[in-house]
Amino acid sequence: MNQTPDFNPTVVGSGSQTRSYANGLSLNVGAKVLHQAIHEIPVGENDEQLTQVDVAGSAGQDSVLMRLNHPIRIKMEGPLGDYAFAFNSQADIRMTGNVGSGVAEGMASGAVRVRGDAGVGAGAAMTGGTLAIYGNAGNRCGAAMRGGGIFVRGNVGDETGVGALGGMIVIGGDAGHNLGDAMSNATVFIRGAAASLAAGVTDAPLRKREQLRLGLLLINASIRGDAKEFRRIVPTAMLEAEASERGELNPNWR
Amino acid sequence: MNERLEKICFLPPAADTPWVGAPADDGSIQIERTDGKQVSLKSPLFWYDPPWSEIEIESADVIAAAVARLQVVVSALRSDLSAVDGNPELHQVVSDDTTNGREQADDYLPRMIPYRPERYGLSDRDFDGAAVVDVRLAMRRNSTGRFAFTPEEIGRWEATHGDSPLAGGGWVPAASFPPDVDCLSKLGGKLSQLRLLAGDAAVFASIAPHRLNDELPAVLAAQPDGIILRLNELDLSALELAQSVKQTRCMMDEQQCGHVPLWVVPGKITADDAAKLIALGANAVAIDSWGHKLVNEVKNAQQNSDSNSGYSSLSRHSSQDWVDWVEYELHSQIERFDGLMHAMLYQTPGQRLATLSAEWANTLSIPNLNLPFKPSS
Repeated sequence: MNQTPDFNPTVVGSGSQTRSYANGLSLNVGAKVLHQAIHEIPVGENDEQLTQVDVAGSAGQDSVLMRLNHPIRIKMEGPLGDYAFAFNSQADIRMTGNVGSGVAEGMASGAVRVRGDAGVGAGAAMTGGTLAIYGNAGNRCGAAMRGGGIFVRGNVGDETGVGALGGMIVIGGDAGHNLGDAMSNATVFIRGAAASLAAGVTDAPLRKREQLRLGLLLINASIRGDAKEFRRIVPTAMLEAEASERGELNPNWR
Repeated sequence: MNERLEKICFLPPAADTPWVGAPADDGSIQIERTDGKQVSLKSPLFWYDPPWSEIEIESADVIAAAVARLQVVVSALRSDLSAVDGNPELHQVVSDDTTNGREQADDYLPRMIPYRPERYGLSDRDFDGAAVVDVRLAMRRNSTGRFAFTPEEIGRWEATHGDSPLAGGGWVPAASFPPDVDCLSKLGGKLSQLRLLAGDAAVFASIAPHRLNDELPAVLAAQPDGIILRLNELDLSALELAQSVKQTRCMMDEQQCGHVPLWVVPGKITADDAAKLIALGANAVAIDSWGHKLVNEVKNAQQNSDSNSGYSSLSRHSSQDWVDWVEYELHSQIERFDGLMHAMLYQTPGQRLATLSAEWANTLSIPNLNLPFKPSS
């Protein structure tokens, strides 16, 4: 195998059997072998330029490429089924097409960019990394997340951010009902309208430092827009603590 | 502790039974995953919901591993038992001297992953070496009556700097159903995903008993590798407990799921109760009341540690001392349970239990002993 960062194999196939073409090299691999082979690809010396693998032939499958823990860029075509890229770390995934439920569940680091729509529970229980959805996301997006960031260019469904203990959710469009339900230390930025806010959260303007932070994040996620167009949704008690400047010392938001 | 099912007795073999050798059985149970893989456990006892956050993290790990060494399946996340990036004893590969250098699969202590809908504290490393994944459905009520996690639990799972606790140090509401599953009819996809993530584990679904008639068939349709029934969430009489186990087993049989293991969490029980519940149709029984006694003793000792009481001396001792203490505390009960289980093998399943009570006999469809005298109780 070519061990330089230019290494650009393509894995194609369907069902459990896939074929891999890597600079002329062809392999027949199943999901398990593909997972193992990805982890064996040497890491390039240049951190800025990840080794890229093109994967095709996974359309319609569930639980695609879970538990990757390798600094590598993967490009693939959808649509994919449920629980794609769950519990991943380090990997930078760029896919085109829709995904089912639970995309990037439990992701700890790295990035997943979806050029399509996502089903329910996108980014559920994430602890780190970035999930960018360039279409719409279903209900309970970012549920129980504890860290990382979710960017949705379009609309999100009901109960977005439910039970989130940390992290950030950026919504480029509108949100459904009960936005921010049972949310504690997470922040939601929204450009459009929410059908309803959950009890205990409130709408607040962005502070200057958040405008700067959000602006950088929007650029990083390749989402067009000005940070000034967004408002933030935070727990009311958190906002009161901010106002009294006691929150950073002894926060108790519930 | 009083025996709850004392109205039921074990039937010995009839007087004219020929003398045969003791049945060969090591007490192990086999679980077949829906993908055909086998999961083997050496005992049908498990510790379902240990209150790990109530004791210091180091003590929790030592107790968890010590109980698991007795072949009891112990439920714990890595974050229950160690700080971030730690390697709890319960989760470590167990060395096996019998391998003689031959390559074989890693051996782990028997462990269950509590896969709660919220997944607070769960990391991907939890899946390695687990024997059972417990997909917990329906909210649990904590000791204060809330459907919520305590600040101590959240603090243990999601450790942060003390001056900036997640959730602001307050209660965190619990969820009832995984947020990334659209509806109950899609639960099967989640279970399949977990079989891939935990390649050597049986994936169970645990449910509360309150809506069993509706929920059990729906959950069984998702094809879990087993069912865990949390009967401890109802304040059941002894007869109701026995009847619940028997009827649930019947319901599963009627759903063509006679092969699916039924594990029960009965609340306070004795070794005799545990064996009787298995004779009534359970495949494994939770011994939380035995485990909680250990936790309470450690907690009390820790609370009194300033006054130089028991915990001070416990904490100075080596892990082996802790193991010995746990073994001492649990040995008689586990030994009694193992003995009863072995003795039951002399009888076919329908002939293992009887009762002196007509009511119990009618309710449970077990023989009513026809004694020539009136029993005192």
